[in-house]
Amino acid sequence: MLDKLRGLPSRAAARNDVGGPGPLALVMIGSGGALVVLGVRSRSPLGVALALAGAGLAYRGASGSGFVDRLLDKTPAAGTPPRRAKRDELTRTATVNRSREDVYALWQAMPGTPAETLGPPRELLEGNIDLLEESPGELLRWRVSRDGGGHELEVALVDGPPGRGTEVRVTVRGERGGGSVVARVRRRVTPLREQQLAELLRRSKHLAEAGEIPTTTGQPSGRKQEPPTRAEGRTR
Amino acid sequence: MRAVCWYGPKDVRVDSVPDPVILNPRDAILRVTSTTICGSDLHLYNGFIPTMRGGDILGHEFMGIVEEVGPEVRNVRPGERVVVAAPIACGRCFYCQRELWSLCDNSNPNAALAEQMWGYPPSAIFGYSHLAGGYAGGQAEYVRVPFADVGMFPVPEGLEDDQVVYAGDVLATAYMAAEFCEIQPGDTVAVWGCGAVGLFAMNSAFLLGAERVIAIDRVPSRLELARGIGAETVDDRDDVVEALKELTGGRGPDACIDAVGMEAHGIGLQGAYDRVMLALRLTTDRVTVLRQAIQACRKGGKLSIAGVYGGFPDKLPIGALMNKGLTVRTGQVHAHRYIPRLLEIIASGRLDPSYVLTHPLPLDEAPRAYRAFNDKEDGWIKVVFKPQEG
Repeated sequence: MLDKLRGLPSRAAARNDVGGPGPLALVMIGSGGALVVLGVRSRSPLGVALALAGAGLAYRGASGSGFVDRLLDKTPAAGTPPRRAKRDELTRTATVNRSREDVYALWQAMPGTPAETLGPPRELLEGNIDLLEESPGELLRWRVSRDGGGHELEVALVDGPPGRGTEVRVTVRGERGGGSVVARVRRRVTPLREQQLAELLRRSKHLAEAGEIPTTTGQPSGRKQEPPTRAEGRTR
Repeated sequence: MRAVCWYGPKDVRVDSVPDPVILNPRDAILRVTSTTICGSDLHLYNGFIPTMRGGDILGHEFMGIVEEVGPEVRNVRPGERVVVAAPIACGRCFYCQRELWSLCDNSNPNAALAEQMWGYPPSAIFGYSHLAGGYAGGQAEYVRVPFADVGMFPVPEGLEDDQVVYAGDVLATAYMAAEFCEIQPGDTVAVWGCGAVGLFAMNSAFLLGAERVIAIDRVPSRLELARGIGAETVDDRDDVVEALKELTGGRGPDACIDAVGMEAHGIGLQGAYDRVMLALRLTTDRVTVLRQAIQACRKGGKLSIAGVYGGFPDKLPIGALMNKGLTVRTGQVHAHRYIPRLLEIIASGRLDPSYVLTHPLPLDEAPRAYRAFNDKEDGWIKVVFKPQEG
């Protein structure tokens, strides 16, 4: 049932669903076929090599799992769930060593978790937050709106193998293009969102498992310009 | 407080820095009574470990008296005397619950950095670069201990600092390295490096039932110590592989322990080649010991890597490794797993690790001590600073 949830392909689907042939695959099939014809016509050792190369290219295009595809991030490698299933969608997954109910409760409270705790990834939850969908223990989906733009943040939970905790998949989807042109371009070309998403997931895992987020901010060093931030330093 | 700070390759100084404070609920503050220079600190001293920043406080092997605890630390009280595990671990993640403490998911604030370099982040380690978390280390008068409820171990009464301070790192590392060898009756174990880890690995191998131990090094005082605990010795300037085969009836040692790591002293053409490659930044680690161990180990034997490696080495004989069917075990020490066992062994009198201590010094001597220890000056086996003295 959980596999039917939006944005959460089953493990089997994640392994096998590499999509139908896209434009790039069609080009590969066409070029490969042309090379085969050219090679066979030339009736020479070079022709044989050309035909073999063409056949390989066409096969790669047809199978949709070619190196070129992976290089261009068009389709995921077999066995790898898509991290960027669509152009406007980012996904990260982690396994948390807690029950699904505990992890769900933590994520339910996440919009209220202070920036001091979450750090920079809190930006993914900054703005007006509307809960769009909730399925207790399984799914939470919010719309985060600000500055005329915004995005959806979705958290989907499934049980890991017995005794192996909860698999958490977090997706940022459909970021709308608010703000200046520079801001729009920046959103398109920088991996900032991906880093923020990864860090949000990591910090949620720290909170769920360890009960705190590890930090070195405020510790002593010979640099001297890093005063304590959470407590007053003392002189012994 | 005073602390040993790193400012660049071969530049450590004793500086006055702010005292540490509790930052998280599971923190504790420790008044450090003993803290050592570990062999792996020399990789930092020589600039081999990336992501150090000027002013970082060094030290990952230390013990002391609990000064203050955070609200979530309920099993240790101020005033208790404890030894601290070098890796920092949460105790609650998948890895910690499987006793793989140095692979903890939750202790490294710079996990993303390590993930980029190695694919997955290991746990944090005190005073061991920002790749390993960037935590201030224990070569100081005081240190903050994160996840203190699982990383601090009360010391049994009657044991001296000089017996137990090593339990948090080098002794645990050595014991783990020997345990990785799955020693069987009659086994011969070869150990590269007669520093503290190597010597303790020899002790551990005997404790775990090894018939013979062969020690490989070049420093006379270190080889002498190895002979003192019952090992046979090989000078690493000789043909080590041939010597080991000769000593084991042509078969090779059943298990090989690398207690040297990335800064092995090569000799001859191969040693010169490694140095050139390193100078040209075409390699990151000198893997002389790994090459020798892979070549010398008997077919189907065990290779246990306790020495630290950091990057992407050149000319590693992976073909021999694979075709000889060697079993390789590696890892930063899962110290939390071994400290209670080691404290028991020490308390029972079966091992007194204090024999490696050659230089008990006040903290202010750190720059001189680092220099001498790094230069392998004869007689310098283990330095222990006493930050509350002098």
